[in-house]
Amino acid sequence: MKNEKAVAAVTMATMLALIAIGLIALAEKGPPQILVFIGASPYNTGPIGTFKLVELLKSRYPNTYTISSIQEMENLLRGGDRCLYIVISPEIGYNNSDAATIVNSLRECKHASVLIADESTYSNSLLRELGSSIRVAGSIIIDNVNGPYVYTFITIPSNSSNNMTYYLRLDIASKLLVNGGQVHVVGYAETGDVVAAEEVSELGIHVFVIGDGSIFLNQVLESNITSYRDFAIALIDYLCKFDASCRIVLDGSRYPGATPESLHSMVYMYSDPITLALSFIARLLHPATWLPPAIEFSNNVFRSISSVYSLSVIVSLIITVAVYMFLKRRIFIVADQRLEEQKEIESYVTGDLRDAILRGRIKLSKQDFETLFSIVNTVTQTLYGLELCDERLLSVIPKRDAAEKYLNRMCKLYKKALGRSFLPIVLSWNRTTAKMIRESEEFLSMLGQTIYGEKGVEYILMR
Amino acid sequence: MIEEITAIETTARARAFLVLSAFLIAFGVLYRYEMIASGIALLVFLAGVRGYLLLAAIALNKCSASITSARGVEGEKIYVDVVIRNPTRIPIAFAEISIRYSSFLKLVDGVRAALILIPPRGYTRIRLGFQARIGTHEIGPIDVVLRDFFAFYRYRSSFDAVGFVKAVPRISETEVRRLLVFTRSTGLTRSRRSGFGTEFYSVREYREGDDVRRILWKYFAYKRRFVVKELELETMNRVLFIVDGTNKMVSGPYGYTPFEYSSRIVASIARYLSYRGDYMGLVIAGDSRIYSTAKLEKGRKGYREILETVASYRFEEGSTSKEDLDSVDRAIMLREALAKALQILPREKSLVFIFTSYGGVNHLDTLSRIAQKLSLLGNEVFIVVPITTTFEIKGLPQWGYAIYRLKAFERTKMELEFVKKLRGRGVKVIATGAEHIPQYIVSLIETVYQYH
Repeated sequence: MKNEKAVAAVTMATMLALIAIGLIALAEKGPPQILVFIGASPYNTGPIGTFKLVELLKSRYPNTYTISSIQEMENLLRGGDRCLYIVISPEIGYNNSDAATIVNSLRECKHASVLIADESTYSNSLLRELGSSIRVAGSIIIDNVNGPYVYTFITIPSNSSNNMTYYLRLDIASKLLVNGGQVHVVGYAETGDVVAAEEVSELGIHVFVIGDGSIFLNQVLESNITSYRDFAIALIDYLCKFDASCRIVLDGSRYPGATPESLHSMVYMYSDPITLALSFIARLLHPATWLPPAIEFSNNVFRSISSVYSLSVIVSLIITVAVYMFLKRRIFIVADQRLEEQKEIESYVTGDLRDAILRGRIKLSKQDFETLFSIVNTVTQTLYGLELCDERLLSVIPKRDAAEKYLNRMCKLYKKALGRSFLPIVLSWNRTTAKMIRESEEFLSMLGQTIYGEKGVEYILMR
Repeated sequence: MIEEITAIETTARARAFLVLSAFLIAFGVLYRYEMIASGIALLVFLAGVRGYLLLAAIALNKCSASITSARGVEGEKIYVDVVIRNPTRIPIAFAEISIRYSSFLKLVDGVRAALILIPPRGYTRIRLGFQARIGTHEIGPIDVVLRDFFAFYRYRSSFDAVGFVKAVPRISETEVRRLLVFTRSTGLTRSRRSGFGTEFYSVREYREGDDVRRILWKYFAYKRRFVVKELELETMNRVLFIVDGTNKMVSGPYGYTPFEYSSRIVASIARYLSYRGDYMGLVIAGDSRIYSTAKLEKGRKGYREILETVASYRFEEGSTSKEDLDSVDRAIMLREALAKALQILPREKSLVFIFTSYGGVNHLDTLSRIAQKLSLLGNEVFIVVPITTTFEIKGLPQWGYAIYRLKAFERTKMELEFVKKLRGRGVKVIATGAEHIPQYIVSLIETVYQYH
């Protein structure tokens, strides 16, 4: 089976290069512009935002969307059965194009509704485009007792006879102008001013207008007073006719953005602390924040190093060592040795002995002398039937005189080897055995045998 | 065809070169800009060198190699040609090659490793001379290492080409003739009874039914009496050799191991038997396989078959140590050899020679059981045991013979004791030395066992 090898599709060098390019590009682009939406924006998580309303609506109507530009509305409502467009206390007015886009989007829905909760006159241009006769007067209702915080009665109509009327306190509300048309006033302030009205416009769009958006703010919906929350739910249910598939669009494009720095202490009105902290960290991490100072620092270091010769050499050496370590780790280095040559084998059972003889590292001992004696003795026994030390041997072997001396010496040394004699007292077995080997060869050659030839005395034993 | 082993490898020299380039560039950036150019020049040079090696490696991958096979008689010098062909236009310089061959073979002429240049659209030939040794020996594959001019990089590869050196045993015609004469004068193949045969036995009076072609007409002309020539009945004309070819038998000097000695004896006797037209066969128990003639064949065909079987034998190092006297593997292979022998032996009585060396008790048991089994089937079995020390003494200086004999005498005695023990179990055994010629072995059989 082949070894599986991991192959890098993108090399580390490419990765590093891409990261470097990315960092430089980000630094060039500048730090991130963190903006908070001021006013009753659905993106505003602060006390005067309407983010809570979005959450509330999403829990009841899953098809709830927030838009940050009017263009996002295009196609959002197309084919819908029931749709609702909501704008609360807008701080930017609608030009003709914006209003037309909203109307055209709403007309793509079968049953379209609009909820405008506005105390300013920014939404009037939209009401006009919608073909509604209701207008926001833009004048604050002042109560003699409560000042701008007037109490109102707003009734949410119902198909049955159980219309629900809510007693709500508005915060700097504006009265509505309801001139002609099929307007149905549903809310009055205690001062008698109209604060809520509805009508089905000329274009067939159900328009519901409240002269104040404060009742939908986060701080109101989160308060202990539940009537505002109930009112909001009841109102949306009324406009969506309890249809869970109702598409609701909250317009977040009608509010200006501002940097947290520009808002100073007011920033907490428009954003929560966690979001602010995260945005601060994001800014801190952005290369535009730290890359230029880092490059400036490295430039300074580089400049100071390159101005001193010895420092340049030291740094160069450090870089060289780093490169060496990198190469050592990343590039597999082979030892360039010559190819192994074919070895030829000649194996021997007695290989060690042969080697020792060929290298001349052999020492002869007493045991070797005994073996020598045994070999010569075997020869005489085989040839003459007599032991080497048998006196009768001399009478049967040729060249008796020459052999006698040899036999005497052999027998004497044999006795010494066996410990039967002390003589000679001083003896080197190595030299003595070597000498006796030579003499034994002379003796054996007289008998027609040899220990110096290839065909030696062991052939006698084989017989 | 070449087999790719690894990619281009980087050597320590290239690393040193890279480190030097890194220093020059680093120093250039920090202090002297001129040195950046030097560093980059070194890197470009290194890349160029690598590029050349890459080209050469591609060319090498397209090269082909071939090794010729040769056949001869042991002891002769046999030549084998190794040819590497380069079909490309790229010259391959500095190719280091190492030619692999059987470790049991001895190279006597040529080189086993070389630094060669393979010209473009050309070839390089290397001639290797081996001293032939009995058996079949593999030559190849060829390992190759390519290097650039400065050995910064290298590329390793190998050619799968394989050739063979095959050698048959050397037979001395003189020895065979002596064997022929000797066996006529002794009784190896003689029954000492009249019958069908080739050798003259005696003359007798003509009897009714005798073949008239056997009448001695000269005698009739002289004495006026009909006498006929009687021929000696030949009893043994089927011979099977079983040779132990395990690693215990291949120790010793080059060409003088007990196995090679046994093979020579077998070949000599087989040659003699071929003159006589006898049936013969051979079974060799190798370390991992059995080599055998298909059946007993007679005459020159039988002789050729035996030579071919010996020549097909492959030396192996074996899985067990040579010191392991009671190797199980050896026993198994000998039993397998027996099984093969029983397959090819005829029902008629045959003469079986088993050549094996010294071993332990288990080996003794295995051999006696094999001999017993073959004897029970009516065969005449001889075990020939070459004494190891008589082989291993070869090649020593003359003064070394005596010392070797002293030091190895115990071993010699043990081996001879082994022979005695085998004889004690009723097996006909002869111990032989490296200096014994086939004639001597036959005479030993004759004299020791009085074969009739």
